[in-house]
Amino acid sequence: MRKQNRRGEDIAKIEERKIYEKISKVEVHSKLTEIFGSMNVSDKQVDRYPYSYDMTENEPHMPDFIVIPETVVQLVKLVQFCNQYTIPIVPYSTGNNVGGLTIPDYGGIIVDFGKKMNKIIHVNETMMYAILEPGVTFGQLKKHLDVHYPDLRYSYPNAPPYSGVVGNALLSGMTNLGAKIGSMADSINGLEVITSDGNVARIGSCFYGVEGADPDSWWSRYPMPDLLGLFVNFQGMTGLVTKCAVQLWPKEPIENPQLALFFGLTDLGPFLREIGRADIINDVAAFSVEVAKMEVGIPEPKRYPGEPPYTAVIPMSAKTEKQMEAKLEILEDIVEKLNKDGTNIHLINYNEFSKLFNLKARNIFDLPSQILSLHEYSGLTWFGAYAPSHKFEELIEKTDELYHKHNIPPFNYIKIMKGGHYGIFRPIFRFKKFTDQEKIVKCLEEIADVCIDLGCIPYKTPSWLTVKLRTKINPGWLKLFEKIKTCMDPNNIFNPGRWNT
Amino acid sequence: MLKIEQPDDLISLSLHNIFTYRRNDKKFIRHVKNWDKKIVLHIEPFYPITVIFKELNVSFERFETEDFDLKLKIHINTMLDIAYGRLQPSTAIEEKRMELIGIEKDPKLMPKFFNIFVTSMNMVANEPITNYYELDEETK
Repeated sequence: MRKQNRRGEDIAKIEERKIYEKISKVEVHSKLTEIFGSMNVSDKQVDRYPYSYDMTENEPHMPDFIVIPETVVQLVKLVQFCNQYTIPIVPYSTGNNVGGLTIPDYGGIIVDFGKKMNKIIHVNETMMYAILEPGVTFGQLKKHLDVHYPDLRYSYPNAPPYSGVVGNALLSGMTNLGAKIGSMADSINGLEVITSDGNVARIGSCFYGVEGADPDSWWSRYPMPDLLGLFVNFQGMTGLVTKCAVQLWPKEPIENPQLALFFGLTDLGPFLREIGRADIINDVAAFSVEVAKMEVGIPEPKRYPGEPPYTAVIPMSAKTEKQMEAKLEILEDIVEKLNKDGTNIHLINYNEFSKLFNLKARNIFDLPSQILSLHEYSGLTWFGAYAPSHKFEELIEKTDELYHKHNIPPFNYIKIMKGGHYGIFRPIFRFKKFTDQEKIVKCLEEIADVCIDLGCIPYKTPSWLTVKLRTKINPGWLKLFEKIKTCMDPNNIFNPGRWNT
Repeated sequence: MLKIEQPDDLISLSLHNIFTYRRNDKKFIRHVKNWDKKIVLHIEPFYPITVIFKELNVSFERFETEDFDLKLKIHINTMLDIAYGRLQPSTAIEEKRMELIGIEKDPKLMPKFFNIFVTSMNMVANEPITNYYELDEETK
């Protein structure tokens, strides 16, 4: 029996690529230096090492080279060269994807966009979008908007300020406007991409212009045939994205965030479903109470009797005070109705409570920010999934059992998205690498099995998880997916190994 | 030096935060020092806790002790109204939105309780800085 790794791949097959029998590493280095300049290329172990791993449990693997591009022309030359010699290319902006997606499973070349391709190219204030290079971070974008476009905002995830905006959008991240606008992939207006043959294509309304695009033309994804889907959630498997236009939103002047406390374990389920469709909130981020304790510095928190198993931060904004009062009235009515039906939910003013409880609790709200509980340990991983909202109660109960079975504090993050159309269910694990990783991985795998059985679909999916999904997905989808991948990348140079390709 | 025990339940954590804000406040230390009392706080809809003041130490128990000196029962939203100055404690008592049991044993309990708990809550609520990392030299 051939030896397999955790992703179900033949170890021998991985080694069959034998890239450097066709062309030597010295020659590759020379070509990369010719394209990018000697200061932007490295094969030194000390430079390659930080790209070989991330905070997750995914197996590390060293890249062969690191390149730091500055222009699209350089990247076209890179792609053409790599396609000729079947050298893998792995795009990297900041490495904070929590999915092992930038670990180069087959070696090859890491393309680090974060260092130099990180410009905010253009903001159109009327049609509300920004054109970004892949290395732009959330902190950078927020600062730029606060200073130059104070009436506009972007939507921010529970991720640090140095995380990448474009990666988050291309991987269907969720943010603090999630209840209103849904997945961040839906807020992409257009892309500029390089395909495996070195062709540069602009996708979306920016497709007009034989030579170049008018910066004020990136206003819509539709209504032309939607080629954008060939690059969303493909984890860099179909081409390199060099520009991305993302939608911005008006910043409403009145803010009054609320905190909901859920004293019944599954009270969160009906609340999320009702509040999602009520169209009164920007977002709702529900956390198991252990998360609140971790955030204020309790390392291995316990849930005590009488404590609410879940709390939810509910960002709310409005154009006028009257509109805010009306929204709060609807919210209170929802809670009152649910409590009459048997839940035990209480609302508190979040700004006021967080000051008395601990200002660290605001890290979850004042985004982008450092959420300390996610950074204190050396490891972080999750089963992050889009979830059917009618299964919230079962998901909460079953994962609660599993956390307690493995003696791990429950760390669930749950949201309702896009007016109540779907949910997010994300059990998160922080761990000390090399110490308690094995226990965490075991629990993670069991939780993954339960959640997938209940219909959850993981996003930013690491390869070990796509092995599980492939046994459940209809053959027609798999066939079509493989066809598209083969067509877009016949030599499998773009992030090979993702989705077990 | 005032020593405030690090608790791990939600309500005690809040009180720890409030008291820690004043840990170097000489006035606060003077009020707390040698008070030697057990105060039960029942902040609804949460569970009751006992705050124990002994010499220069403040500690917390996750239950209601039977031999309390003073017991306060109040809803969280009423507590926020008092903390943020929208409601006077005396009015809260008159309107039965705050219940104090044990005052009759010692008339000095109430002013001392207000100086330690209510004034501290007011001060934290009025703190203009809301960014944890800018709160003081330690958090920076």
